[in-house]
Amino acid sequence: MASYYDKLKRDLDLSAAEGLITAAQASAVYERSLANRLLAQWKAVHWIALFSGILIAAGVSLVLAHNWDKFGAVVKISGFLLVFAAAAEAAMRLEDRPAAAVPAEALWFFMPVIGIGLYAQIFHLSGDPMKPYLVWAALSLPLALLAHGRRSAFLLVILLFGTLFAGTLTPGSMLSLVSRYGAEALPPWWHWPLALSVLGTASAVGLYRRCHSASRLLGAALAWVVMLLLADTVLKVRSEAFVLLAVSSATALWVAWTPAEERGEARLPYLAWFANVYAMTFLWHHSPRHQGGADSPWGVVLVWALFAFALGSVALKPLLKDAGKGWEAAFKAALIAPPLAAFLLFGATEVHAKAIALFANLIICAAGAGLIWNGAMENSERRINYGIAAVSLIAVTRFVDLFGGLLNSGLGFIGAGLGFAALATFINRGRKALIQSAEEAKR
Amino acid sequence: MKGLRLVLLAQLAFFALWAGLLIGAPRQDVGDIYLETEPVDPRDLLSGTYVALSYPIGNARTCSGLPGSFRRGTVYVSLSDKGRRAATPSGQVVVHEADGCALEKPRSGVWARGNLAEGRGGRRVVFGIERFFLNENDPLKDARSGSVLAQVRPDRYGGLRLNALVRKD
Repeated sequence: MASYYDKLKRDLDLSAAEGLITAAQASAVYERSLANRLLAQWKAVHWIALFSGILIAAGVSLVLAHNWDKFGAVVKISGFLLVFAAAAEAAMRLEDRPAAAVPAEALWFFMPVIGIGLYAQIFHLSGDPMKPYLVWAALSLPLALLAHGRRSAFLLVILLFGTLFAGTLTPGSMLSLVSRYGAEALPPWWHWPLALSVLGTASAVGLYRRCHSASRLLGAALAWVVMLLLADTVLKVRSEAFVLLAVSSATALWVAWTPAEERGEARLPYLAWFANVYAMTFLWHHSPRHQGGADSPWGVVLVWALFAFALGSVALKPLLKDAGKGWEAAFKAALIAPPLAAFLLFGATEVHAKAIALFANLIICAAGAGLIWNGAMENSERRINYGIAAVSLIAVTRFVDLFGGLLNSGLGFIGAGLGFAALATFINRGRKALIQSAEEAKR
Repeated sequence: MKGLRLVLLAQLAFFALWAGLLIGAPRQDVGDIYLETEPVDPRDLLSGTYVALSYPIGNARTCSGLPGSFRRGTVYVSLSDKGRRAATPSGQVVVHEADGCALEKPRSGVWARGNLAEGRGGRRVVFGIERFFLNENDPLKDARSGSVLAQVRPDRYGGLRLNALVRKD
């Protein structure tokens, strides 16, 4: 099956042949489109080649493990160093042949951790579980920065974020920021600069090599901060109001600081915002409960800082390019409404929680209606579909939520089924009508 | 290409130097010594076939003489022959035991560098020899800490190298 890029190339060539655009423009558009995607040049054969590289790496370590006693330590180490050098040389020399260079570079990237595992087995080394990953990252950093392609940098950023999450959120490692279950003592302070340097390195490599979008890097960093607030760290917060304020502020920040040029493709920040507001709708059933422990002062400070930063960013930053003032204001209001609603949870009663849930339902309905309206005005089928999906999800959820208890008989199920069928029919008709009007406006 | 070659050279040099340090580290004046092991519940099943080990010399009470404010960090554990013997298939061997621990390197005797840290079962000194990796077909695979002695080699820097496990008769 021809890929999107094959089709794009054909269309551009055709357009150039028909004189719609010049050949140089066709070539420039194609190159720009390719450059936007890290793995765009990859065909099925390259993916297979990548897996072959990983399998070779795994196979080598398995073969060594099975023949463990037949070789001495020096033989094993020499063999490892030879394979290491061969993989790296192959990656460098075969750079213009991706089918060979991709697995060779993958093997080169994984060789340090294979070596560390090999040495640990030969010399029976044990210790901090995060240390091998940090050493691996340090050894692979120059490769990620200097390699011609961005594959090693792509893998390194994943390795660093994986190490950051696993290391800081599990007790007992040199990166750990959480205390052991039942222990009062927190890990030493110097774990913090180490963890922050891992985060800084991952972000810097990702941005410098452009192997991950800025939005994705920001999302990972914000997710890490939220996890630190939820875990048993010096930043822990336990009151529901602070947790809700932190998560809502983080999602608003993520959307606000996703670069404008990435905003069209980056769906995750919007999905996170939607998931947060959707979760808030379930506060209807919330009843105040005893919270598990006190909020730490540093955690409270961080939550207020997140909120202040989110508020400032949303208020002062222009967020929508080429949109009218009304849309810009509506977008900003939708972003900042969830953190503001979280304030109702301070000293909450059931009435406050229900008010937040009601407000969250309204936010989603308003956002859905706004998307449908905007989509119809700007001829965007995608926005219309998103808007209808949001409103439908709320309608179905609230139906099950409020009338689910009545589904205790066959007739109840049949009635609910007929009701949903009618809803689906009306929604689909409305959706088609909107899309049709958008298409007519395009013509 | 030149930069990448330098990267490769640096990576290979790292592994060559590490191997040199592991193989050729100068020994302390004593040869291989034996350490008693105690039962431990191995929890990490993902790291391949190994015997999880724990050592009485790593008990927190070994370091009970340290200042109370010292909770974690590098310590030096003195080891000596206190008369304990163990029977092995190759005869009786001397089992070294802990004399105590200090924050400074001992000037004489046999000693090991460890890291005092908070573990699952409370504070312990770990020496980096808590796992003995072996072939899947090795009969020692079913050995459990406590039923074996660890044959280790202390180097001049206080590092312990785990050479073998010896079953106790």
